Amino acid sequence: MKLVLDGVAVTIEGTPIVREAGLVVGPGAFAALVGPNGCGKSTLLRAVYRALRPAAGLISLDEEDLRQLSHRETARRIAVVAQEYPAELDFTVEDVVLMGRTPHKRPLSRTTGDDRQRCAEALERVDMAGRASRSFATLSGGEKQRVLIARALAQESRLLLLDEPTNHLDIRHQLDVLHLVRDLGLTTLAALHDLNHAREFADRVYVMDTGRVVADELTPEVIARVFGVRAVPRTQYAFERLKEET
Amino acid sequence: MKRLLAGGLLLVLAACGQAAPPTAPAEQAAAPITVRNCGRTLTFDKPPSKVVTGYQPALETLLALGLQDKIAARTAFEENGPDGFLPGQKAAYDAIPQISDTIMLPQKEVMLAQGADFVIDNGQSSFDAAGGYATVDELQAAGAPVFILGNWCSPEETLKFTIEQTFTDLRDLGIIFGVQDRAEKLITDLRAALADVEKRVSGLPKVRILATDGGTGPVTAYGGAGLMNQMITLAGGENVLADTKADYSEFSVEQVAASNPDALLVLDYVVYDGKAVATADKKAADVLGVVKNSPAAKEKRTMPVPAAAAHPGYRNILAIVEIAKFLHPDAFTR
Amino acid sequence: MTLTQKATGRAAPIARRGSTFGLVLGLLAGAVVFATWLAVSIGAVSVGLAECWGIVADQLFPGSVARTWTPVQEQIVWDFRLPRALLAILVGAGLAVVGAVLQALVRNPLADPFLLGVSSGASLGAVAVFVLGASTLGGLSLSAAAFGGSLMALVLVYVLAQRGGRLTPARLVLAGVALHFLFQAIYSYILQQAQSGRAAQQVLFWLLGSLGGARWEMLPIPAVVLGAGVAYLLVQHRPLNALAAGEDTATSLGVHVGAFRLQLFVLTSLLVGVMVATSGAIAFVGLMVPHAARLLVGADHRRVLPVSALLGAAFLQLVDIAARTVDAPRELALTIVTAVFGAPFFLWLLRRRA
Repeated sequence: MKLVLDGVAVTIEGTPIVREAGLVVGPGAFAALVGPNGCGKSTLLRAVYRALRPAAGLISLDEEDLRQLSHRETARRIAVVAQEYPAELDFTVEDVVLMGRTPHKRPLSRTTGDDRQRCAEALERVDMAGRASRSFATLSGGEKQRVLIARALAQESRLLLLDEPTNHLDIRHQLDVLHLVRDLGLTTLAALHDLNHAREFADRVYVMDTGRVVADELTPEVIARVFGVRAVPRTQYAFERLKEET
Repeated sequence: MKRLLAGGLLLVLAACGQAAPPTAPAEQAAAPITVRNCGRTLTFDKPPSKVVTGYQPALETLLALGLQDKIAARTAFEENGPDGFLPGQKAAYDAIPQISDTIMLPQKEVMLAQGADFVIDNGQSSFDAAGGYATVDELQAAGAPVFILGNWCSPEETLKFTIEQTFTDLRDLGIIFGVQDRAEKLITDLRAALADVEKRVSGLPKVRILATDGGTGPVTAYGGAGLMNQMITLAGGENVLADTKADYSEFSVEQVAASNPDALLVLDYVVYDGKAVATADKKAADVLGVVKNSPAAKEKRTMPVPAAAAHPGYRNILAIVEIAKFLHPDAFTR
Repeated sequence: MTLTQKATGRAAPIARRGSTFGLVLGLLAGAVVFATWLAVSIGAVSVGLAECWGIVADQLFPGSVARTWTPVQEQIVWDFRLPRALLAILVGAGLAVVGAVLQALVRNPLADPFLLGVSSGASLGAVAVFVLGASTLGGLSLSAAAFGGSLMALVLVYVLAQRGGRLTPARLVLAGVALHFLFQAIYSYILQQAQSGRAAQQVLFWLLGSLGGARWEMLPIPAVVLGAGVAYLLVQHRPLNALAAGEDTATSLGVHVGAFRLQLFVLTSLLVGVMVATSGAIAFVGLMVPHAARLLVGADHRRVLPVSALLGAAFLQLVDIAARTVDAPRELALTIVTAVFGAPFFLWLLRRRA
């Protein structure tokens, strides 16, 4: 599935948050979206999964204008790991993963053995098999993230959006989650705050600044201009290594 | 339905009150006057001459003692409508300055600003600091001793009321104002009226009475303790809720339905605070629905009782006469 | 290419919790029946068991039982106790379901109709009719005024809690608490203005919840609203789950959050309005019952809603029995009884979550 954003602008209560954003994520590619806090990454993602209505611009999936689709049809194409945990009401892991089946069910249809089978498979793929009846709230941060990814898998969509999936995780689990996502081989757009992760895991890095996508690669000049810092040695090192590899 | 209106006795009493000369009371001894009321001793160097009256029966009682010229200010009685006054008292009521739009005394500052030397009311609610009213102690300190009618000093005392308290109050007010002779005359007349009722209804079968203030569940009614229960008994009736030790209270529909009354007494206050509240007719209809299997419902035998008559004051004895006539009409034609 | 195609092998399906759910439902239905039987059997006036159920049988199948009772006993059992017991079921179930929905809506297990100002909005509408008289409000019935009040409360809460197009649970609860006190102040003012000591006492009793006014003719409206409401919510259990997981999550799962939330607002207002109009504002049922339901069967609303309804019905039935018998023949307001359970429960909940 190919995602194309062209000239997207989003305004919240009269304040333009995203001014003009354009990017392309090719089929099966993993694109990262980076930028300083408040640059509009999350807002742009929310516009893609239709939590917000863009003021201008076009968002299309495989040449299909998103606005032509119902919310339900959109949800069958796009799965999201957002920055919220369903931790308040004692849902079990299975309850959470089964939510992924929502866009595939009619109001009166029952949850079938097939739905449960798909959930079990999704949990297995994220290495959480056997924890289905655990309370979601009691899981560790890394485990929660895995369960949310399993929910996205159970949703059987072809585009995966992740909003800072490594937030609040320790470094080992951060890498864990990113490896897992990359290995899924889905068309993926992830907002990331760690530039090193973006460079190590993504096929392409889009850089946002004050509501605009200003670059589609992470050069030292871009880092200096957007983030106001000189490329730190580790980034520089990874940068050099990447150059050698390519 | 009969209205509780003036009987012959009532006219006599009212006339008696007005006939009393409005001149200064008899010369008092130099010793201060003291009277016990609600556990406090009220002391007066001279009879009060600047009185503020609260709820209706308080003013009615003072007017009956011929003390109109001692009353400086009063509250409003619109709750009983234009018919709600005892005969001959409307003119006096209109002549006295009104300092409150309701039956309650005015707020603390207005009240203290009156410079009263005596305050008389029913119950305690007009002296509750939480309601913004001047307390009994504050008024006392400001030189206005507070007299509570009927010994309604607390909910517990309310339950212990006996009709004797009405006479005790009249006697005490006679002492305070130096009009003992008028008080004794009123007491004698009232006792005679009660004795007449007792003589007429004695030996007659008791009429089973439900005294109510309406409701379809729970029902507000009078239990077996307090003023209303006394009034029913003295009028030759029997309170069907006598087993419950309560005055004005909520009762379950089951208990009311099972009480099987012969007649209803319905509390009547047609207008309250400028707004129409459930009329006595409506309340009677509601409660008759609850006791639909009773003789009271079959005969639609109900009588409105003015709210003012259900509070301490000499009017409750007038009401006993009216209730007795309602319960035992034949006894009063002889 | 779908996500699961790469799954290797067949994972074992997850064991179903259906059997436990069925058992819980059965037990609770039994509890409702038992509590209702108890409620019809006992009261301020004692009516023998045989007479009591003879009366019910005779009403349902005239002539089937020999009449051994008095008309007053028949009136007590058939006109007062049975409609009251049935109303307890409806109101208990309704309040519990509303609590469950509101907790999902604000994603907070501490939410209940009181916390969001909905109950006091309904009370305000009802008090206005009660005290000012129906004519002042253009002949509005008590139910309609209570519904209007609760809907106004929810809409206000909704508007006040919005920020940047998002509805945050914390703001929702804070706005709700503020409105709760505002409405309480307004109806207290109305009561104080009308204070006769007499009318106010009746309203006060009713404000704390009472089923004492139950009559047959009061049952159809709550029954229809509750039945339709629960049916709708059961159909919508997936969007409800998704919404409980979060606003963005629900959107990403294909739920049109704005429209769905509006439907839930209207539905909960309607339920609260109808319940308050018939029985006053009964606190704590909406808070406690859904929580207990989740402890029994988990958080999935397909299970939580019916279990909450039954649990709420049984609970309020027992509460009403206690309210009628503890201080007989006088009755306690229901909130006095529910608070005996509710306040410690609330504190326990706070400690548990801390």
